[in-house]
Amino acid sequence: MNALENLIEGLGSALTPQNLMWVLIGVTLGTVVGILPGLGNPAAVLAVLLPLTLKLPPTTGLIMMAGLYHGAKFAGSTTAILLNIPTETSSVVLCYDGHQLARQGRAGPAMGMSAISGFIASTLGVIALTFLAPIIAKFAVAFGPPEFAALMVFGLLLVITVTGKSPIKGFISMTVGLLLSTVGVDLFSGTQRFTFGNINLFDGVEFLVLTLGMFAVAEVLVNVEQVRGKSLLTIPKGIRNLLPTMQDLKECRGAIAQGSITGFLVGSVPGGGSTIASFVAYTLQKNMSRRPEKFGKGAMEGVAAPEAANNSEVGGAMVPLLSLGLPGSASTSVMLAALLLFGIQPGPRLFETNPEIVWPVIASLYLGNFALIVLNLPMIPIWVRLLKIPYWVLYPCILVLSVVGAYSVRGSMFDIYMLIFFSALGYGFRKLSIPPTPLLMAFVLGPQAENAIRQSLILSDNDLLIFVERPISAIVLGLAAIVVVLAIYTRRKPGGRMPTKSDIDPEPLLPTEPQPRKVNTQP
Amino acid sequence: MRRLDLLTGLVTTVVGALAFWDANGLAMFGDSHVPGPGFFPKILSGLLTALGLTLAGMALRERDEPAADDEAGTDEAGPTRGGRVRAFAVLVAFGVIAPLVAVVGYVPAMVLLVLVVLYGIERRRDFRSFVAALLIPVATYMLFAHAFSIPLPNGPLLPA
Repeated sequence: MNALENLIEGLGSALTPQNLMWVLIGVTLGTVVGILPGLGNPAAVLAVLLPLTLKLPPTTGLIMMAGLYHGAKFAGSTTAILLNIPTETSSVVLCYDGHQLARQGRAGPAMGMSAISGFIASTLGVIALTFLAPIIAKFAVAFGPPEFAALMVFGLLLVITVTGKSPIKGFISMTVGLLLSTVGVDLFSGTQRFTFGNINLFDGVEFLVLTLGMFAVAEVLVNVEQVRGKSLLTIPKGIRNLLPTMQDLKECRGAIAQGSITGFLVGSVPGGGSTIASFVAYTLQKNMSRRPEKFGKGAMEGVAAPEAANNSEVGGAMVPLLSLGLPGSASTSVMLAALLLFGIQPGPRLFETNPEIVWPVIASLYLGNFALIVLNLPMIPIWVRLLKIPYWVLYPCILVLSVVGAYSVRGSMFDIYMLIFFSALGYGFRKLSIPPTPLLMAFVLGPQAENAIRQSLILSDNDLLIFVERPISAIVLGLAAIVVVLAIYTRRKPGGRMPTKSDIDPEPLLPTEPQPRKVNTQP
Repeated sequence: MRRLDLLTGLVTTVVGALAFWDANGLAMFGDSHVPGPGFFPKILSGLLTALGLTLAGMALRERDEPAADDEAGTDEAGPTRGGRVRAFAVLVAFGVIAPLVAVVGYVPAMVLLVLVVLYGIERRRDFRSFVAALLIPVATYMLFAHAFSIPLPNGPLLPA
């Protein structure tokens, strides 16, 4: 039976009323839980709600998990676009343009584009998974530490292209993020680094605590400076302003295609993940765009490309999981745990030994995304109505949720102290026009980059040529160099003139004196 | 803006230097000359120091030049002094009250935080603010502690 027939049969198994009901429940639960700081990461949502899925038959349980996963991903996009608070790493990039669109009264179209591009990309990802899994699996196996190091260096170098007006401040932010990522016990030697003897730092700085401080609370402080008594953002009026227009969809078709391919390929690399996929897709789109200066100021392509990558990455991540038993990301790690709990052993023969499980799982990924678009597109007007809440009500909620979110990570008061520290740091960054996003990207990619580089140097006996002698690594580094050169060229050419001053500082939302409105700036 | 950049550069330089000093005890290379635990920290802290010096140098050099990125006639509104004071007050309140979670418990500390923010900083001294001050912490407590079974400190005032 060929792959297409298997997929159709898998869809048939998945499309029962019971399974449809559970996928809808999964999407709803995933969205609601994913909104909450502390639980916004899809892996965390899956982990928290995994016991629910285990009570169901294996196929239904895995289908529900797909719904949870997609719901949590959408929730991450929602908070990034509406509130500039990324509750998970892959939605960080949405803060660049998604939130700027929301500030311009286009929150609904941004969220709609996020859902639609995700749906299209997920469809393409499932199709690619169906037909290309064996080929991609061979490619994934060829990825060793040098290739992975090259990919991480690629991701870090891409920071140059999104550092805004002052590249040096972007580099400072990135370097601080890399330094923070070294805090803790070194995996290779067991030596403590920057822990100051504090046991709470042995595992390093928690991502969520850093995000809540640098983005959630710092954003509150910046908004409190400027907002007095009104709602946070402009509320779009009329149903037509709540969804993307045909013009938006037409302009973004290239971005969706590029993001889909990028996300799938990066996702298929074990450890690739949606974070780097979304970041690479965003940066590639910015560099390929005829109007790169629009990026960071509310470009719809800046939402479409990373969201497409974010969703097609799921299909890619299933390739190493199902064919090799290697999880491609944190979320697929949880899925692997679920498969094992169900008594299913992923591996090269899974497609032969358990086709009745595999194909419905693949079909469920698609179903989950379809359910997401059916449920959440009509709910966009409701989400956007959140913006009507007066800010004096909203921001205390954010502060309280930040505290509980930080505490809930490990049940430690130390994380609350760290939250306060990062809140002050994030506010300081904003006041000094240092972009916080490179710090976050570097913090996420830093450990993987360091481990891969050190492993590579161990393999090659400290010979740096290993990175260019291996073809995949050389190609990735070559691509990185091209992107960097393009970014510098774009920055210098007349059409690519960098945005003007106070690009980093947010524009006043509701100025206390009548003043002309200015397009908002990068985070 | 130049003074701020100079200050940023100097602070960055100091932070980088301190990080390098702290990483001094870590081996740059381990056995068989493979990268050791100090490899990345030293390179990064050195890089941070250099970036700080560069930024400070750029700020000093640009001091006497007209700022290239200023646009004549650009109308930009920044935060008012009152706004900055308000934001700083929120940060201080957050920094002082959040740690009280360990002393008095989650709900009382968060009630106090919201009351200080709404009554003291926002000056919304009405019944709605009082309701919000009670509702927000209690609702989040019920959600996280009961719905998701994430233990939160109860403190001496609430039963364990």
